[in-house]
Amino acid sequence: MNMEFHIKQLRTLIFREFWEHKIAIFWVPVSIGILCTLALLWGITREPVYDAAINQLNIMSSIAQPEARVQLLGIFGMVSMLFLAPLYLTIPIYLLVCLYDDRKTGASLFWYSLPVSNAKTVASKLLTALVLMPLSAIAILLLFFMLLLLISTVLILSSGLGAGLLWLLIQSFFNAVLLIVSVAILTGLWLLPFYGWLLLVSAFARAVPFFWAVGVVIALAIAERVVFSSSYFSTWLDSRGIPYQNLSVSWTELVGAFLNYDMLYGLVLGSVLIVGAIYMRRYTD
Amino acid sequence: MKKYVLQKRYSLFASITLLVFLVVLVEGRLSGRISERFGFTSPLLDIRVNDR
Repeated sequence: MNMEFHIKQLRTLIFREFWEHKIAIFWVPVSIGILCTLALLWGITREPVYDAAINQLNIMSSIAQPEARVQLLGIFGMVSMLFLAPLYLTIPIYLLVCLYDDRKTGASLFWYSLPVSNAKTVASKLLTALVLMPLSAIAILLLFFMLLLLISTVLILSSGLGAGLLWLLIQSFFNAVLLIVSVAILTGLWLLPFYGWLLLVSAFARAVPFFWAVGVVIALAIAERVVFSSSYFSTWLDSRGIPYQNLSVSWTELVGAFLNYDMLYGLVLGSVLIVGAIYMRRYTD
Repeated sequence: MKKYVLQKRYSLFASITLLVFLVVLVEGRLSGRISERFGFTSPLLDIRVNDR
């Protein structure tokens, strides 16, 4: 079987994930986008908000360009949090139920009858969480950014603030999009041990996967405290547990975050857990 | 058959969980030495080294 066949199979499996989890993958970011658009349109037609926006643009046109660029990136970053923060709530829920639901509904028996390996099935779930879900949220965020850019352009041109600020705004827009895509990839890789753990629990639990996922972690942290009188495990969890700690407006910080000891260590542990989830699917009850 | 499958599932889950748990414990204990020996630096590694 050639490479094209494997890619086609994986694509079909990912499309199946999209079809079966359309609410988490598509409708959640779309709903946030609609809410933000309505809030923006409602706000800009109110005088205090309009005045505040003009005032902010005036300040930016009066300060030095590098400072204004950092401020604009900060604004784009804050807006992106509205879309990315719910994403890191929906992804764990999706990962926790994806393999569990397959077994519970009996769908796994159908997929076992097809020439699809366990590795490909688990890979499709992981790629959905790592690529498809962030991509969907970023696509909607991009549309919202474009609306924001359009409104800002109209405000700049109508208040005669000059083309310099408009050019800076467009530059910051592209910079912000690239940074957000990088942050989403980085956060996905950073959280790989958690994703792997949730996949393993989803493949294992016969009931209440949430309690298994949380309960075992708490039990291990307590066991370490009691038996070894140390807290390496809980410290490690704490140090990796916040997804938005990778949010950055600087490229140098981002490159450093990709290439460091902690990232590689996390990738190794995450891979072990993912391989465990693949093996677990061999023993379906 | 069902018992065998269940046994396999529980033992696989327990082994992988324990393996990861022990790796985290050992790495936590050795993080200071790892940092010194190989010259790795990262803010999170520093947190773990200081937390020892």
